[in-house]
Amino acid sequence: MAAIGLDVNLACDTPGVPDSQRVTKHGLGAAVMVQDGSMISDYGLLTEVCAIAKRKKIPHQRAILPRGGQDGAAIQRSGKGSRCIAIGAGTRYIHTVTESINKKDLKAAIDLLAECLVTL
Amino acid sequence: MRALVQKETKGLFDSVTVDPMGSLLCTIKARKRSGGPILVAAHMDEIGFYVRHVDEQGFLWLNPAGGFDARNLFSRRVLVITEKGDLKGVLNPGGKPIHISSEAERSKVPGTEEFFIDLGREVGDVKSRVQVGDYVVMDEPFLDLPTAVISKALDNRFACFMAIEAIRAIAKRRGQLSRDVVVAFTTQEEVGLRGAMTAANAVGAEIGIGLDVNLACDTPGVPDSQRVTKHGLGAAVMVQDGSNRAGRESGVRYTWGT
Repeated sequence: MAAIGLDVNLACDTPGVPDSQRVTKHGLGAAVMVQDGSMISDYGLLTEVCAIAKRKKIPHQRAILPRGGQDGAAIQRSGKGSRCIAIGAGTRYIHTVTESINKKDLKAAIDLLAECLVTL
Repeated sequence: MRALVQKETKGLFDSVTVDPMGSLLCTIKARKRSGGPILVAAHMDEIGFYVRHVDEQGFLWLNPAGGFDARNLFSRRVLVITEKGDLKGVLNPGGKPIHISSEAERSKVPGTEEFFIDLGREVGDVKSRVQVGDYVVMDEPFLDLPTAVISKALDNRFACFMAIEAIRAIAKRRGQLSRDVVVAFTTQEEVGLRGAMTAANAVGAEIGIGLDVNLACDTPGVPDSQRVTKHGLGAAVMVQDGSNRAGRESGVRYTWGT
């Protein structure tokens, strides 16, 4: 049993944030989550999802989000547990009315989920 | 770590399975059962880091997995675990060295996010080997001293060893067991007791025993009233910690450690 959490990720590739803390960068592709405040993605799924993206030539970037979480965390640890990963797109100005997602990243995220659903 | 535990426990249990969280569930069946299973939990994970960013100079920036005290992170040798093999490197905070820093700058303890790894390699070489999500662990040798063993990650390899050796010690007395014994070598304890949750759900234990290191603050600078335990006085039987209180009637009864 595998589970995929879908949620926005951060894109702090904006003025005032050091590059080392950007989490994702607009335009580099779907965000494949390694770790966030709520969950560490299953390592096997992580490598598998990245391999699928590479094979299908879907732009993607690995992301680590120090704080914040998504639904995958609850799935991962319910009952006897599930292998779990999270996929999303980097979002600027999160939790405001100006949230911004790059269109290329949005398409990549959809493509990647679709390929994962038929392959995993 | 899991492969090592599997190797060391070969033949000691009736069944061994890996759960979706990566924990190893090892069971000995009792011949006659007088009650529900005992679940013994020892976590295999250690505190470490993930690479969160590789910058344009080839420095690695990190996100912790587990609670590091930044005061213990200066000038550490580390291993970066990549798909193409382990890389040695050094961990330091950003900032000026002693010769060119002011007293005020030196008195500030940086946050863990200010530490980076220098791999001593060309940028292109670093970028071809390291990716976001690679693990980082401390690289310090084990020391066997006359009265103590010294190591990184005794939290909680000690408890894995403790569980394995205790099971080995009762190997010939397995017939006397009155309950199934399940030893869970768990994952992700250091990020919130996560592996133990699914292990507990799978086992449905009547008695739980958590195995973990306890503190021994019997060292200079800590009042005796706050020492928690003292080296040499024996196994630590835990009454209460931040996560658990020993109950008399039901549920989890004891947490043991050293």
